[in-house]
Amino acid sequence: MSSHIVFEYVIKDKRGRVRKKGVIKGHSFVENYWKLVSMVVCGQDSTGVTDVNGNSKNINLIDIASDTTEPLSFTVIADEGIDAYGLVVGSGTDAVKMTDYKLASKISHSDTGLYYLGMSYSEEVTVPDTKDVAYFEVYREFENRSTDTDVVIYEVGLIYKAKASTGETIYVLIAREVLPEEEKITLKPGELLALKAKIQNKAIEET
Amino acid sequence: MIVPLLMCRSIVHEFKVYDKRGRLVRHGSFCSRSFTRNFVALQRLLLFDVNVAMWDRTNAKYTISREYIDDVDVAADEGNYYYGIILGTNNTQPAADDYWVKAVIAHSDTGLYYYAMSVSAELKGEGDVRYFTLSRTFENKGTDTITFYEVGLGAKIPTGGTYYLLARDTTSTAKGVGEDYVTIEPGYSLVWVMKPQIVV
Repeated sequence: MSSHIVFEYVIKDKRGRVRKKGVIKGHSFVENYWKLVSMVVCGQDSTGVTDVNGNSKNINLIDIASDTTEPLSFTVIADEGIDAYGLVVGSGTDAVKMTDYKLASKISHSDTGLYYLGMSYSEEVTVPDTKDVAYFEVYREFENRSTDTDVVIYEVGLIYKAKASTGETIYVLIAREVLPEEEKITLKPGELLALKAKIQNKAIEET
Repeated sequence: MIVPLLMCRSIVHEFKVYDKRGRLVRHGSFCSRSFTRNFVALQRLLLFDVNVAMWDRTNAKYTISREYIDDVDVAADEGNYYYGIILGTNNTQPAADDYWVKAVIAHSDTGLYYYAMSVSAELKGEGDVRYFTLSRTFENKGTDTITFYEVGLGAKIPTGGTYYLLARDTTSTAKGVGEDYVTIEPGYSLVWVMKPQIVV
């Protein structure tokens, strides 16, 4: 069994035709995420994380539980135009490390460059008939709105929007993956990138 | 010596059996094959605020809302075999939709005695590996050898059916045992450690 996140993508041209599909192989949860999970499983009140600015922050579990305000304080589901959290992409090529707290070089949202559309998610945890995996998915599309410049993507990540125990909103990287040169994603002007992150437990024997 | 399972992206199971005098008589370790859909549902609850479906120990489906995410409890008390680390005698291979240990060995003052769980959320490991630690000690207080084939991790969440399975494994892939089961002789004790682990 392997607990990890898998990124999959589809590139569509201006007419909506699929030009390329791919799976970004890796395992890519980073330390921040496992701190959050251990807090939940062990019933701890709080945990320390490192935000995307490299600052140590504390998150209280009871704040996550009582998070009923709009917009939500604790989520990975970002709205259109928001690049501070949710699924994000970048141009950095630094190898993934357990202690990563940000993308090496995030590509910002832009009305005339890479446009971040709103996110969505699967309705349920899925278990196929093979019963060897359980997963859920989150989705985001990106559009290259430049008229003459390619967007080249080497890294993808998932950032959690949270509220520190001090009350401030913070952003916490929970997963990152880097593509090798031969698998980089090139988005031509007018093209759309549909990115999917599958959070799953899958039966793979590893030693 | 238990060999670290550095590439295991799941629960690392480690166990040691001690005789009446506290001497180590056997040990083993293996990488889990089964976090369940309930464990995935908990992660979904953590990452965004939607209700999730979870299945309790009777396979009844319940809707869990995010307000309960701070009420997850695996730290079962002494004598409580409804959650925490649980042992069983069924050797059916694990599946993602497992909802409980299939043949639970009950706590008994004259059989398998369950001590209290020990949990630590603190991450350990270095380099590309991080894990946290859950453990439980058992003792055979009976007169017959106890043989088990399965181990599970149950959580108590005070809503719906209360007890939910997060992981289940069989001992058939254990290294260092030589059999597909583990035994605890009368008077012997067992320490079972679960290390939910990620690797980049």
